[in-house]
Amino acid sequence: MKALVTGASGFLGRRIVRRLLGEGIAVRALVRPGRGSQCPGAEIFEGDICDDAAVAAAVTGVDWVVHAAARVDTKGSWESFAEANIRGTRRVIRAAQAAGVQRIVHISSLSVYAVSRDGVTIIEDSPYESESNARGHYSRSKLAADRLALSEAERGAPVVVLRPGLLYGPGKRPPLARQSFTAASVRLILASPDYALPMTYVDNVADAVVLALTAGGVVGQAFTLVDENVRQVDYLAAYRQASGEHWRAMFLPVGVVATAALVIERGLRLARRRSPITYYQVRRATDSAWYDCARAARVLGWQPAVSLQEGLRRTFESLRVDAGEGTTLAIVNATV
Amino acid sequence: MNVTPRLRVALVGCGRIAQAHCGYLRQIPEVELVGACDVNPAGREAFTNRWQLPSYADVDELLSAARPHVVHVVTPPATHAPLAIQLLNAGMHVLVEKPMALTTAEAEDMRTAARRNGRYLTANHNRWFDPVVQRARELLASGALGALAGVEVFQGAAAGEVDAPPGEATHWSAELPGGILYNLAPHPVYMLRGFVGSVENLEALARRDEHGRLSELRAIVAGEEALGGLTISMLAQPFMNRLTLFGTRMTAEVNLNNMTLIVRRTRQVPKLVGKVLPNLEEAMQLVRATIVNGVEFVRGRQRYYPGMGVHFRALYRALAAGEPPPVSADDGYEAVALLQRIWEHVGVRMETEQRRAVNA
Repeated sequence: MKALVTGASGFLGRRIVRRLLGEGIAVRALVRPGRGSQCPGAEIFEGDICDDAAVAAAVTGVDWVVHAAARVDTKGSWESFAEANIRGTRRVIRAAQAAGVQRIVHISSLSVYAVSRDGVTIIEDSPYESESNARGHYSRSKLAADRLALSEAERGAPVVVLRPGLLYGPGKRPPLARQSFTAASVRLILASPDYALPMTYVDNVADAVVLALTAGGVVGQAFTLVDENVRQVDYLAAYRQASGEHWRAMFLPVGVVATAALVIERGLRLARRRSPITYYQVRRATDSAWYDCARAARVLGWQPAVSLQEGLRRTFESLRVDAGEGTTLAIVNATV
Repeated sequence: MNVTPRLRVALVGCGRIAQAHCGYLRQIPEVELVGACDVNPAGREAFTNRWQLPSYADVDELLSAARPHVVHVVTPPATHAPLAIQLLNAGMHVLVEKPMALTTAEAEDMRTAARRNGRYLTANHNRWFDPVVQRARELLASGALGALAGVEVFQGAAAGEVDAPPGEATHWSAELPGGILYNLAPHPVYMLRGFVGSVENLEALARRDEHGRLSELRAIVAGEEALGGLTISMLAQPFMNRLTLFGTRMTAEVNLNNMTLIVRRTRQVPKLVGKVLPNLEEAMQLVRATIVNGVEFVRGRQRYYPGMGVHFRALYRALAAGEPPPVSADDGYEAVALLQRIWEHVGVRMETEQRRAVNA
């Protein structure tokens, strides 16, 4: 069997390629020119998902497609996000279907769900986010791509949608929180200690990809993939232990920040300016949702094989090997 | 969680009028705006940046990525019929900007598609819902005006009405049958028809400017309710937009631009007083309306296309309740039919380069 992986040189794509190769599945890696070295062992196919001809050629002769490519920048025009994330997804699915591919796994995101109130439980059939006007181009385009992928499934394309949580894993420093700021040895956390972080270890997603490619009765379905809905305060403890770092966490008063954001937002709206921080963003970063992954367990047979403690240990180990210690990011904005 | 499911509404077209639609749709509680599509990338980018909503490259992408229940078609008129039929066949309810179609043949196909798919088809006859026009309609319906003796509609052209959109050489309306004037004509036509009812006979005359474009048009119609007339002028200044309802008891004069309504009634007073009193009455009515409009403006309630908001609210209430839309597909069809008859009278062929391109 042979699988095409789009976005194969990306953070998640690389791990999916590795996992598939480990299963004895031949892999064709669709990467942008010059990025092939990220996918040892795979057949490298250089091209862009925005290019019809390249996509059509890439899907020819494979049995499965894993569509992990996406534009994830925080900047750029809407058209660039729409082209890559929406039209790119449609292009990949249509080309794959036309080429007779047996299964297409689309990597989506938890950001498609509406978090209607703090503490809400979310399953795959929970409503889509409806405040898309408050979202950035990335989330907005990923939501559209998710809907599009399921629409294509209704039209007969063999699509399965996976919605992983806040991804972390080897090669990238994990975020401390949805929103956090560094001030000397203090980490300012914009969340309550009880906020639930939906953490997902990359290799656990790669496991789900293999299951989604091979399991029966899964076409047209979406699956939430969250290892653990971990409390913010517990996560920070695990993080500190795995990283060996010494800093003090300070929880910003969420209510005060949210109120301030609301005031700033309304004030700037009167002046017809856009606020750098919105009430919605604060709420999205502070209202917990509990992601129920029972469907993935029941239908796919997925269980997160790597625990949070183990995942963080492996992640920091890889960072120590790659770059040495002491790499700190001033601000980490997680894009989920 | 107790959230009332809202109707997901999308737009085909990201041009100027799409902005007005979005502004009003945003205020309707039953509506969730989910995006728009346009063939012009610059239009899409501008739309997304203004409304923070996704925009898509084509209808297919819009339908599968936004999954709307209702679609507003806000594209040039030659594309209305093919787009509306495609959308109706895909199971959407469709609102089409005026005119609903270019020809009765197209309008008939649209009406058939709506019936076959069991979906709403409606046209944006927004001026019919302008608050001042609604007040005039109420005066007529309540009997205050008496019986309707006649109707006059005047439609002028605003400066900048047909400026080319960004990135394009000309405004699409120059390609319409009869040119730019055609883009203005639907409003006075549906308005006239709304008051006089089915038109039995009509006469129409037109003049062309030095470039051969229609610049002035007058039509008189004999409707089942009354006689009526419409004037469309590209040349008359200043830009005016008026409606007069002549009743057997009173006459109502509506200025749609300034949003004023004046009624004139017969007064049993000495002749000399009769020369002065109506002027004072008229002045008082204008002053009162001006103050009310001024207050509304300051409160941010006075906006362009005020009838559009009223129309959309009524439409979505009807849709949510499963009642007929305030403007039926038949109303849309009849307006297209009347416009086509007027155009045939003045000798304009309905075929245009744009239409042939769409059909090809």
